[in-house]
Amino acid sequence: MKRTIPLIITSVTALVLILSQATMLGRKLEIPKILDRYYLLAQAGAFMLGSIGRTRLHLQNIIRRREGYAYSIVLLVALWGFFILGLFQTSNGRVYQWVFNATLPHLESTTFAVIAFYIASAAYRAFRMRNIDSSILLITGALVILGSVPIGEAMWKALPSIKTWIMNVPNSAVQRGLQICIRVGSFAVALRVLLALERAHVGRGSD
Amino acid sequence: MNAQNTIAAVLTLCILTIIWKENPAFRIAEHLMVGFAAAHSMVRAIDNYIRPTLKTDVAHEGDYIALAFMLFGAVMYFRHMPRLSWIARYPMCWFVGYGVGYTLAYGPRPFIKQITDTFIPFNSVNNVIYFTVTLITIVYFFFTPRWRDSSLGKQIDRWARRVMMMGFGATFGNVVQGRISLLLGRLQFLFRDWLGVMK
Amino acid sequence: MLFAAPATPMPVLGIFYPGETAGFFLIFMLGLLIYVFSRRAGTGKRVPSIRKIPGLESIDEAIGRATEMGKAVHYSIGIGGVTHADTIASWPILEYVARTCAKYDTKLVQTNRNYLVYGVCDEIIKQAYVAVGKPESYNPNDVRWYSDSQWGYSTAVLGYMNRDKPSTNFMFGSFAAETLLLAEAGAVLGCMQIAGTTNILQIPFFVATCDYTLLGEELYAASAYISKDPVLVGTVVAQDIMKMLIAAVTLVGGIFATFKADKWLKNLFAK
Repeated sequence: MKRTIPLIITSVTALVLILSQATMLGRKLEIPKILDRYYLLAQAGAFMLGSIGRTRLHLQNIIRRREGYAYSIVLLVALWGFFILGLFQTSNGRVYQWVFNATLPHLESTTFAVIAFYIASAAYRAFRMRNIDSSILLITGALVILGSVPIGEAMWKALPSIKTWIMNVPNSAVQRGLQICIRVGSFAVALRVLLALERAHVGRGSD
Repeated sequence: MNAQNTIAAVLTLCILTIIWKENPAFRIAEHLMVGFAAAHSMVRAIDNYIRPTLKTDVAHEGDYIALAFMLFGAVMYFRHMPRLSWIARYPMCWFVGYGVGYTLAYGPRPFIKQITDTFIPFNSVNNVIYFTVTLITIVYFFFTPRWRDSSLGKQIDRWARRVMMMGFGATFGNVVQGRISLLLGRLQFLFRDWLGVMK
Repeated sequence: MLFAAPATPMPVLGIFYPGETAGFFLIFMLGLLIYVFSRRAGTGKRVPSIRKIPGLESIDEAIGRATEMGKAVHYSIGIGGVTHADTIASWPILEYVARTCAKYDTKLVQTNRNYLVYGVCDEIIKQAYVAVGKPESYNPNDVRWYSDSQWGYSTAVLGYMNRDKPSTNFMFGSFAAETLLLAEAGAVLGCMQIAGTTNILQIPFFVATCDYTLLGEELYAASAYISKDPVLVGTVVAQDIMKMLIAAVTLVGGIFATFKADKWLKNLFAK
């Protein structure tokens, strides 16, 4: 029962969504839209799920004075302090907006920017001609980069055309082939869950 | 150079120190980021869903089904109670069922379009190459036919991998430029918006 | 005319919404194939084996490495939600990894970005420890949610990996721009890395930084490959048959397109 009923819930929910999206009746009753809305509301209902886990871990760090517990204090103050501020001011509040604009967008875009350094180190490690596969990867990557910048065209006039051909023909074809297989695979995975052949999400023990 | 930009610049520099090695400055910025981001997602959930639903849908329009689904989602909190964590399977399986249904309901239509877009005429060298490469790539992902282990199968594998490496190399080269421009954006913020040494 | 209500579209075959019929039949056909081949396998009929996938063959080796070195295994399920097929496909792999880690008392740290996925992964790992007979070894603090933000999650994982230095890094699921950040961090730390995603833009970065990479659909065959369950392998046979049919259809479509006679075929698929 503890596993059987949840599995039935999974299959029935999936079937209702599939049939309502594909049929006139389902569309007329707007079932897909209703289900989308209830999904978002149910998801919102569980909004603290992750934060409770985080708080539990960091509180344990502080209580037991584990190594680095000062950082746990920083995290918990930021998390619950900012949350309480947002609760009273909403996300449009003046102070909330000020703190948000001073922190999150900059932290996030800087993390994204760190990738530029990691690309260099990844390329150095990977783009050594160990075998024919990595040689093809290296040569194609180099042709595309050089074909996109003015210095590449200055070195060899044909480079931009070569780059365009690579992007439009082999690259596009490989992406098409991959996408077709990926889609079939994603449908198969979803059908395995719907038919309860795949049950990892409820575990395999007895009820 | 104002207080907001100064805080942003200091946090930016703290994150950039990871390039050197893990250090207390990075660790503080990391913990602040996780804390603020987690709080922001909770505040957004309240502002965008919980508050409007309770104020408008439930209080004014009497839409108790909306409230019921929010409470159903809240049953996930039983995950944090060891003896009762099995109760959270019910909403969890509903979410998984929705996810599975979403893939199967909304996925086929764009997929069919992709298949029909592959109906290209074999009237040029480029089109023949395009179709052949697409076909080789699809054949590479046949997992079970017996001829996969034969010498023909191994030849197909070899050429398919080479062709895919070409595609991956092109994607890598294409993405590299975008990532470099992000770093330039951050450097612009530091030198222009914060320090004011750049126009 | 300007203010007329939009006309109700005409149903196809009496019940289907226009534009959805071909897709529905595709799903129905695939579902039928999966059902038939899984039943065949379930009744003991011979099922072909899946060709070798090096990345999946090496999972045991990677966990063994962590066990010998006394270090942790890190498993990232990516940034996707429960609506992503990649996330769903990663769960059986996570279950296998959790069972193996539980069996050999190897620490497993599993990180998440989406809190619903965190809830599911927590359940999977807990049940894995229970199934192996070691429920007391399950530590809920080792299943972590690191914020809903893509970069908050990535930064936290970066920090964790640099501090704890796991010896093995698994990345199976839905990944986006943070791929290189996570994978390169692991590569610099000397982790053995096995990854799989279907995001075509990110596969090249995994190929460049990981020891083994599952390309595209190989991630979706993982559960059948790892478990060697004949019923699941039967479903992979169904997938292959569907791909063969699609390959044949594209060839036929190309021939018709060469003679400029493919319009009827495209219209048929557009119903």
